[in-house]
Amino acid sequence: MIKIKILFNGPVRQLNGWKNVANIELPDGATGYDLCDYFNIVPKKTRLYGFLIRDGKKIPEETVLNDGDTIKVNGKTSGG
Amino acid sequence: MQVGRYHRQEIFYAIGKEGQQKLQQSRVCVIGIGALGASVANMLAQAGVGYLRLIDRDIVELTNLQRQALFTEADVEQQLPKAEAARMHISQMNSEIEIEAKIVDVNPYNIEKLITDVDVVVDGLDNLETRYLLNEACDKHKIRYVYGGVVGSGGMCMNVLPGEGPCLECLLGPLPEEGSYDTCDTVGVISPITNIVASYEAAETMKLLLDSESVCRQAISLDAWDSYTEFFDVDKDPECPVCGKHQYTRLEHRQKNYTASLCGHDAYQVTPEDDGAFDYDAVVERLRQSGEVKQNKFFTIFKNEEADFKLFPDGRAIINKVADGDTAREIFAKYIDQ
Repeated sequence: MIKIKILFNGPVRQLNGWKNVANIELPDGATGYDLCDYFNIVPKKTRLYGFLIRDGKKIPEETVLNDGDTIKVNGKTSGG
Repeated sequence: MQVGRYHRQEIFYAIGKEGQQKLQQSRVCVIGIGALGASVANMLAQAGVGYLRLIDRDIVELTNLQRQALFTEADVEQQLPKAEAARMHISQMNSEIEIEAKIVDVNPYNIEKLITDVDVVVDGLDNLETRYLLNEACDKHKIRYVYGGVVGSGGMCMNVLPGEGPCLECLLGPLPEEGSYDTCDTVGVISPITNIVASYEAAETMKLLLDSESVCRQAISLDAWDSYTEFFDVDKDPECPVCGKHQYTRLEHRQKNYTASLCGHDAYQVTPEDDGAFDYDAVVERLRQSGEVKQNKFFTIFKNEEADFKLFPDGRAIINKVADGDTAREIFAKYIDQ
């Protein structure tokens, strides 16, 4: 199993029961899709969800996650 | 010795007198004059950008005053269009620059005409659909575009530099379905984040106009409530339909009487094809035979038992109290597009 820290800022925290940090465990070889699945996020469908950021870079959901990763769940910013 | 208006910028190491002159010769288009756009426009006017084109389709409303710093209660009272109200207020602060207010809906018919004679386009929009359209138009014409967006307490910003880096679609992926994402009308927005994002947009615009080596090549994600700021890299997607394959489907999707729902307003906007044939005065005269007509110099309000709409001189109409786009188009066809 790998341990992942996830950050949810602003309205996106709604996807994590309004908390802005989550620490979870996923099986070895888990991807961004597994992370999304853990929080019932369906990329391109779930309101609020935009994309994932790791180590200062936007990553596609198929990216394999590593033990100790910190992942930011970024929202869609549509307003102005 | 009296110093000039731009003295503090001229002594700033990255601008100088030469940079100031360059700003004064620059042309910028700000699309969407809400919280972001009004603040950006104000800052660019303060900085002395020589020409500003301010584009917005909406009227100043009371709910705007919580975050849209330029506007006043008097603007709400007079139902001033945002672009015109902003032009008026900014002109009082800097009368030395040229400001053009365009009270129009940005759509596939007019977007290319609106942006092709400027150096940089700044995003102050309130919806993703028009942003994706703008992204295509900027890629097609190789115009630099500063994206900014906010919702709730969060915001994002990124320079879109055609031919050099990722575009908006590389950042946000395919356009989500309408109604599948939250907006300021559904989850709210707070003023501090709009000002932070607007400040980044204004600074990036100035850097782009000055061809500065400090132009940001990363995207920025921020949250004012959670005290969070992150600069992050976005890869240019070679498969991106816009900047990878140069396919401009939204730009080419021109439908007769283009319809868009106005989020949170229980209204639809119908925009006819701009074929130069629309005769505003004649339509208003005809409307007088069918119901109550009130007019100011920016638009006409029409009401009867069946229809309630605002008609603008460019031919578009905001049809109020309709459940869907089809009904809005029917009313438009019956009363306006005869």
